[in-house]
Amino acid sequence: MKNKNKFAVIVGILLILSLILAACGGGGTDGNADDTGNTGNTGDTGDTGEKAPVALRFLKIADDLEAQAFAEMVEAFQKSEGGKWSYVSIEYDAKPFAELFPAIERAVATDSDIDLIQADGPDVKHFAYNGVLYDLTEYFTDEELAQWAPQSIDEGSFNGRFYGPPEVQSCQLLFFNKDMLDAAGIDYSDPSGWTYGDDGTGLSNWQKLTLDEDGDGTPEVFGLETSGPWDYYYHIPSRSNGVPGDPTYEGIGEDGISFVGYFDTPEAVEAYQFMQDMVYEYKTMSAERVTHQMLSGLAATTVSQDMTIGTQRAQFPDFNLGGMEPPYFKTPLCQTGSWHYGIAANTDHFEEALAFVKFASSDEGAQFIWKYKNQLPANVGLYNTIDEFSDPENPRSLMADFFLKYGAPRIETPAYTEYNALFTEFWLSLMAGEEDVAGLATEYAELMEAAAAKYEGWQDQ
Amino acid sequence: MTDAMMVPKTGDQKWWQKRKFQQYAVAFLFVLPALINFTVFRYYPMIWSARASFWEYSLLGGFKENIGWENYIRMINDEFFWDSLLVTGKFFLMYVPAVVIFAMALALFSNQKKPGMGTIRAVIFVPVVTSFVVVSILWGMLLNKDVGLVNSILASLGFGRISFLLDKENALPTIAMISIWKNVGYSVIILVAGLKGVPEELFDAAVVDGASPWKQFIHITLPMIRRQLMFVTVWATLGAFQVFIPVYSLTGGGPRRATNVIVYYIYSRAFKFGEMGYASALSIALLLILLIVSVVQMRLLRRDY
Repeated sequence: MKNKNKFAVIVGILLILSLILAACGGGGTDGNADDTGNTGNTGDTGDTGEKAPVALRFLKIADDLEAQAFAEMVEAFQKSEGGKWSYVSIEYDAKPFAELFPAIERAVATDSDIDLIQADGPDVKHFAYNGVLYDLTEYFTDEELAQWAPQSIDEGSFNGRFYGPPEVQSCQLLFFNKDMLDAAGIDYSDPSGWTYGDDGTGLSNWQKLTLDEDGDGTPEVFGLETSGPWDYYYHIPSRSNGVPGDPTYEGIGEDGISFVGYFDTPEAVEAYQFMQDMVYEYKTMSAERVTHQMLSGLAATTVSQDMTIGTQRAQFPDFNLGGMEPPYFKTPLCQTGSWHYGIAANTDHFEEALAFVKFASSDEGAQFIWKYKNQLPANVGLYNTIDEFSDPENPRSLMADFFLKYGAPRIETPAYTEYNALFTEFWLSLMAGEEDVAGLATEYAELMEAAAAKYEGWQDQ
Repeated sequence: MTDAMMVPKTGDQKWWQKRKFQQYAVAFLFVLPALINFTVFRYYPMIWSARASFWEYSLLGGFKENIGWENYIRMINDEFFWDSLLVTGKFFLMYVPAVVIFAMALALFSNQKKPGMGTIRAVIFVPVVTSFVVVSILWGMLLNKDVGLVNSILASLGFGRISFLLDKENALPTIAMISIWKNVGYSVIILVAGLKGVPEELFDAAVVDGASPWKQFIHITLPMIRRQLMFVTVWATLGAFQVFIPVYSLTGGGPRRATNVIVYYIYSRAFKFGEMGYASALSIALLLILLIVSVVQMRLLRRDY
């Protein structure tokens, strides 16, 4: 009996373990079944003509304001076209910005049942090159494409095919603390951008704005905020030291993989050197980034996108914010590109995903994003309907005008991720005080070119 | 019918009825969850990674071509790989001795029979249970050259400001310092557990024999906690070779690759450069290095077990 009992105990434990394991493994869905047990098939459920519920899985950035926008937008989508899409819902898989790209990579590698992807503008080409996104060229009419600025269409395209309708756009201005500029006696009535360079109008203003009241050699207030060490912010000075069409402005060869002779031109090196001098020679910038440096009173100006306006309103309501066109060397320039919608190439719900993406990227859908996120819309029609864009005193109005006139997409290459990683290394080394700036630029141009070499021939794909 | 009557005679027992088998079976059931965990989340990925290392493979592009040993040949010729190993070696030399020495000192201090020592041990352990990403970012703010609290204090005391994270000479020691602060508490707890197991009588006898506190430490304490010391040393070594979060959060491997430790380099190749096959080869190399280092350490520290 004793042995029998033991055996029964063993069998019992095994049974419990198998139940636990089964429970652990049971969370996933089989095929396209959703939580309600539906198959996700878009076909009719029977003679009633009603569609079975479909839940689209959307891998996107974690953003509370955007989440509110999507919640309201999805409701409107479900009611659109007489309730045609009422059976479609959205499940979000939200990731912090830094984790989104690797999360998309993982989702693709593991063949996850993701239907929608939120892709950063410069990454659309990378995803399209790798066959991650559905080619939507045939599904958008010229009229629909005309909703968006040409920059957005460029950024959402790969080799002339359209993959990613835009959600929002991006451009930079020089935002400033009006009180500090007033105290320094700087006139900001003219919104034209200051110029970079030793003889530029910017340096003398930033020097006036830099305050080292205790005289210890470390300013309490810097003239210009130090932004994140990314291409988005810091390729602007060097590109602006060229003119459209030349290697410095373009920043990359026409083949989309050449960097030597583009990233390290004498004009680009001059710009890099000046930005380093802003830190070490003129001491008008800190070497290291400080979060919200300007808004917290540690810098007088910042080159930033319109996110600054939202942060100021939400967290620094008493801050007296102003805006003017961004600084430049020869050519006024802001770098564009923000979030795009992409439909996963392996989606089983293409019809529903396309309908949602069309709705979300339309003027109607974009209004929900604007309502909560307050980011520069990609839908240019909204600039005429939203008060902030028609008020000339408002920095958003200035940003929209500047975007349409001078906005240029970031360098267009499927190797953007590799390039941006190397750019960050390059910029950190520059800010660390590397003495041979020209050598550093050439070294990194070569590394960028080597990293991009695997995409050779991508334009023929 | 009694239980004894139901038990078959030894010679008639089936193999699953034998006592030894049943003992093993019960023991096996206890380790089964851990075994499943290791098989699914450790061994399977290792085998999968070994396979991927022979392929041109990226997460987005999938397995493209079997390239044999090419990734390993590339690794041998990759100056950044060797450089990252050198950086990791430097980090190892800064981190492991410091962790062991600080942990030993803190364990001895907090093992005293004085009031409040439990609280002190808890305080020492707190960094272990905090998020490394969060504390890395906080350290980054504290150590900022221009507006950081540490530099403000240094400046107010008349010292020059130090570029902790942006200077290529200072960045790696700073990462080591943050890692030591974060991890030393775990080693302290292990060593305190070892110290608690040392019989008091040994120290009493040593005192009677006139042994100084130093001699007691060398001849009683250290030999009696050598198992815990070995664990702490091996654990710190593995940690040194796998340091990642503070580098990822604070320096991105820079400046000038001064903090480009091997795991960060592997991460970069895999996720930033889309070279998962090559990153897998680097991972296998790291695995072999860690195996060798661990075995050597265990042999050096092993005595009678």
